[in-house]
Amino acid sequence: MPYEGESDRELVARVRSGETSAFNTLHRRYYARVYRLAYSQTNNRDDAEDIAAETFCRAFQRLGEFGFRCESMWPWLHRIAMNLSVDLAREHAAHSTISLDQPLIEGMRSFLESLESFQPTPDELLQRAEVQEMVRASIASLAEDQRDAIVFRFLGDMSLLEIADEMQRTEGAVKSLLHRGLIALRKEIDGRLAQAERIDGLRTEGTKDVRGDSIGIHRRIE
Amino acid sequence: MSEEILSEFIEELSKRTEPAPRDLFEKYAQRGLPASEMAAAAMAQAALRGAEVPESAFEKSARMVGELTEQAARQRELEAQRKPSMGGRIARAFRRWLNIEP
Repeated sequence: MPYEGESDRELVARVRSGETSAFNTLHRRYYARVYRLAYSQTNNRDDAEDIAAETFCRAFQRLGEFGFRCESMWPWLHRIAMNLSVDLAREHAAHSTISLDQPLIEGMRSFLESLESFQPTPDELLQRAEVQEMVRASIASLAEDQRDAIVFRFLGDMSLLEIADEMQRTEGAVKSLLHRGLIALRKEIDGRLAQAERIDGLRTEGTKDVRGDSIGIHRRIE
Repeated sequence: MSEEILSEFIEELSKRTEPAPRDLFEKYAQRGLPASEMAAAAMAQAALRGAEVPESAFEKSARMVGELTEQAARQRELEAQRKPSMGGRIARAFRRWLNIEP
């Protein structure tokens, strides 16, 4: 692939000097990250696809306004994608209730308390789509600065110094944000687990009623 | 202190491919990092990096970006053709100065 080994700075300079096809390399470099960011905010594949595509179109159109704060273009793409997804994200995070069955709820609880989970094992647990969906929704509903610090660190692979530059904070403040963010994330997940447990309980009670009285389900759930 | 250790843990976690590396958990538990913080970090990393990126979405976006960049390149070419050269602009200014061009 052309330009593959070049830095973001070199590629942007090429685009600005008229080699617009160099932007395709930036697209290839960051598409997955932007898509995952959008998906983490919306938990919806179609929305994530639209947001990711629009992020790159806007970035190309506004490249003239862009200035590097660090060596990577990612923080800027992150900001564009977040601006595009923030309204949708709030809507989804506020309303999404992810359905988990009791063994999965217990697995998550025991992992959060002691890093142990019997069935599924911790590796399996963290790879389950429902678990990832719940965690993404929980991240999306965190306070903005905590959410950004977590996303920059875990999705963007940015160093603490780069995050500090981007967020205009000190390195110590970013460490503190990450710390508080992860504590808040744990609380948020706990809350969602309790909610999922109530729903699962209702479902189980409903299933019990089906055996004797099928109308019982509707009465209880409504 | 806990923030420092947590940052080191996150740094090491980001280099690992398995979502829940037991040896790393044990190492940092011995250093006093609470299980809940390690668990939340591992969950965040797995959830953020775990989403599958559909090939079709990438291709569609690449097509859109490709069209935009080509369009910009064409536009630039047209503008370059329309714009007179430096020599042409000097000659024109000179003719104007001599009053042989309106």
